[in-house]
Amino acid sequence: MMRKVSSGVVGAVLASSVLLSACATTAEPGSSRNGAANVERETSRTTTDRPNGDSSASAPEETAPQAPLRALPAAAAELVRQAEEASAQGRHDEAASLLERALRIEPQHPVLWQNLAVVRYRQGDYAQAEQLAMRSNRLSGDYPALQLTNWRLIAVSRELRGDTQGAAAAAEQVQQLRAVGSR
Amino acid sequence: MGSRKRRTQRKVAHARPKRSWLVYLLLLVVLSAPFAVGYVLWLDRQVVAQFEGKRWALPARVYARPLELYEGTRLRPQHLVAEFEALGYRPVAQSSAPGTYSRNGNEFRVTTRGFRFPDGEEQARRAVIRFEGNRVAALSAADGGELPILRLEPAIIGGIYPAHGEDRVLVRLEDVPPELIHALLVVEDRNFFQHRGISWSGIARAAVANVRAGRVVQGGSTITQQLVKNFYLTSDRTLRRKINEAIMALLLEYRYDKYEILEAYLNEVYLAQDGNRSIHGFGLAAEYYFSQPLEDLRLDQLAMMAGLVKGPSFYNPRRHPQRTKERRDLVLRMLHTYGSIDAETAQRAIARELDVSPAPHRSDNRYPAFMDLVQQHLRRDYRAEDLSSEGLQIFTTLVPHVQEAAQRSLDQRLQAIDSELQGAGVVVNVDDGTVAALIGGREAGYLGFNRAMQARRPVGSLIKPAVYLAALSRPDRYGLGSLVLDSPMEVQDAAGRRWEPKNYSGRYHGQVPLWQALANSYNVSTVWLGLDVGLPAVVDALERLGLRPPSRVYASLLLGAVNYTPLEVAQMYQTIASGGYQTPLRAVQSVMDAEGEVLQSYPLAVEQVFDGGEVFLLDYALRQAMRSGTGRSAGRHLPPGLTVAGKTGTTNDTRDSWFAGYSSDMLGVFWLGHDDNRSTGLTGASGALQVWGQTFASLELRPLPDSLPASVEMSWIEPASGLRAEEYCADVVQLPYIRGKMPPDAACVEDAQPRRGRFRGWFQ
Repeated sequence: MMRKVSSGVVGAVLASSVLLSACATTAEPGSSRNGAANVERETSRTTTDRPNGDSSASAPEETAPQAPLRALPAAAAELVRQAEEASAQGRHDEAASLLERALRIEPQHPVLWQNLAVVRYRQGDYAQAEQLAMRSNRLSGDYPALQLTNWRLIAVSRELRGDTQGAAAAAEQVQQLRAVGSR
Repeated sequence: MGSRKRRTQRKVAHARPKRSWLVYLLLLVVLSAPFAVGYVLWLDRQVVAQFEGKRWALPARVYARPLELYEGTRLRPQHLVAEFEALGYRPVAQSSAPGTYSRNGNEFRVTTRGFRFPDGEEQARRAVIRFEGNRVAALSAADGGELPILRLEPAIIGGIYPAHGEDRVLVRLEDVPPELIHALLVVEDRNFFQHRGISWSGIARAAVANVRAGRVVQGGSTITQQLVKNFYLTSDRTLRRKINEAIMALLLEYRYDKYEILEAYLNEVYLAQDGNRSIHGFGLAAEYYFSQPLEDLRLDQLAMMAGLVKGPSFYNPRRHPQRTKERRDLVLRMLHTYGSIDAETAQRAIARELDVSPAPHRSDNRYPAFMDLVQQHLRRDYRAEDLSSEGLQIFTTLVPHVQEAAQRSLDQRLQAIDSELQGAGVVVNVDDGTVAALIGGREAGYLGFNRAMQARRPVGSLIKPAVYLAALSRPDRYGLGSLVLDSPMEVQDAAGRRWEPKNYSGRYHGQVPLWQALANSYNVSTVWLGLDVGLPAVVDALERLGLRPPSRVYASLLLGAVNYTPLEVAQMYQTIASGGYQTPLRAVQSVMDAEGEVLQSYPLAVEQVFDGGEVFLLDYALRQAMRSGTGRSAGRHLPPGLTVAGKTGTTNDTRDSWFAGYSSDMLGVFWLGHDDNRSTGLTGASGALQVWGQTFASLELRPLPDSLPASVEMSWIEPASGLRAEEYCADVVQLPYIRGKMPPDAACVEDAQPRRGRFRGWFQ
């Protein structure tokens, strides 16, 4: 039961991270039906590919307005594009390595840290997924939408590691951000 | 992850006896002695063992971090040139061949060779790089197309060799330029594809030549015999040895085919001596003589190397260029005589100069201290014999120009102070914990004592940030403006000894704000603060920062009476510099096998150990130390506007001079001292800080950001009371505080509250 809920959250996490970061998604670990979450970058945050339209995943806060993110420099964007491709084909180590290179170019960009968190998540490294998402959060001060994604990733990562309390705390953050976003 | 899960699939040509019994029978008759059978069998085993074992013993190649170019790369043009040189790129008027570049003022044109990296293939490209100052302003493909990022090949910084110090760059027969093979066959063994190991006509010809000359001028050895000769480490010329070689050559020919023998020969033949390193094989020789891969060499260069086989020291092109050129030209003429090349091609090649790269391209062991770190890292996952024989490719994090800058700064400083003074340093990337440089001592006379990793020395005041962080991570009790006591005090250690901490200046300051106590590195107030927050809290902070605390803790720990290596200190400061995220330092990013398969990667891992806001408060005090405190003399090295933070450290009787400091992207830790622990006469500021300053001044760095973390806000503080004030109060300073954790209001705030606006106008 717990698992099911979390996989819905994961769907949301992955879908929104795609949008924000231009990093394509593949199935999260342990689930193949969510495969190629083919979310177009430019569209609004449609959630068509989410499994079962889980309640936590289909909440309306996804449409909350967000400040425009500062653009990635072309070099970092190119590496993110390659990482996206690698990750989509399941070559996660390669994707991580590409993102690390992008981070060397632009270490203060929250999206890069978030993408790396997503890749670690897909590899099943929930501890690092959580830490990297926290790191992204530190840099996401002006971007509630990014923070929202990060907190969801943190919540689900904690849950999958058995840290129920921590997951609840993160879920609390998600609720708060939603509330702010819908205002 | 950490398992030795692999064995490279070697391309071993399995020994397959062909007609062997017949051979044995034949040899038996020839030698007509019964024990010869056993002897030949023994030789046979030797041949197989040598051929199988030695042919493929490939040392690991160790690479520096590849240089990445993109719009905005912070890099000085001369560092790009140095990078090209390390890669053996030749400066030319117009770059079109791989491995060449041309420069026109601020604009470089380069043709890369391409490289297979663990995260994908980098194509060979032609690119234009334009600098503006010390920054890449534009990057594009030479045909005008878009090129967002260009990654050069990684420079080779060394190899991991077996004990006897041999190196190889293995070449496969199909990758060897055919001109080289033609040249070798023409000058060394024209009947190679006909004979069975020994060539009677060759021997006859050699005999005739020797009789004519009255001495031994030709050996008459076939390529097979030469290969066998290379299996021995000595080169005595006894008859018995000659007979052994002949028998082994015959055996080799029966066991292996011509192509396998030729390939082994190409990789085995002795071609040069570089100090105590022998250069075997054409792959390595191409690097050694021309700083280029074998595939890139021209006909004249290949002919020169083919000519060297006869006598690498007699025909040493660096020592005897004329002699070598004559030999090379002879080879070229012979190639023409035997129909491999036409007359015009031969003439063109003969017209060329030798074109040997000026200094031997010493790729191995240029950075022995860094290599120690690499080896230590790899020993966790690999066995020594795999590292020296499997042809692994090790991708490290070394940044050559950072390493060079740090070594140069250290050497210069040490030389200027004292000819026996030693030092060490570590430079790491703040965000990902990759080690860019590691200096184990003076460059000259490095004997394997790697001070950066092995010298455990008292760290003195470098420990203080742990004390202050222990306090600042309790924002309910302490802030940067909190007053700490700086007056005579006495402490008892666990052994009951009394101990009186003193400031470096010998003076006391009464009460000082916390940030000033750290920025000025006051000892007494640090001890007071450490005892106030409690030793266990300090030990906990130390541990979270990434250091192993001592097993027994006394108050003297607060002043750094604890030993760490520069590398360990770097780990501690990395956590601070990255805002409370501990990232294990690493020198290796990935390991790839000889076939290009990634065996292991060591990715970025982070763990938040302190709240970012609280670390920012510490960071603020460490910035003040550089602006107006103990580190201010760094200002004369650094460009204006480069905000940095750092901490000096000096131990009793000035035995150790330390400095740890960082910009937004780089952290450097340096130590100066004597190996025998005697006094240096240097403080952290007059010694290590200067080396740090000089190193950082020669890099292109990002300043620390001006922005505040979300959890922090600036507040007016009354320094005399440490209480919250307003701008209109007299003598106030602005300090960062954790939101909602301000100290109580100062008297001036309460008094002024109703009339704030007017007061402001009157008192400014």
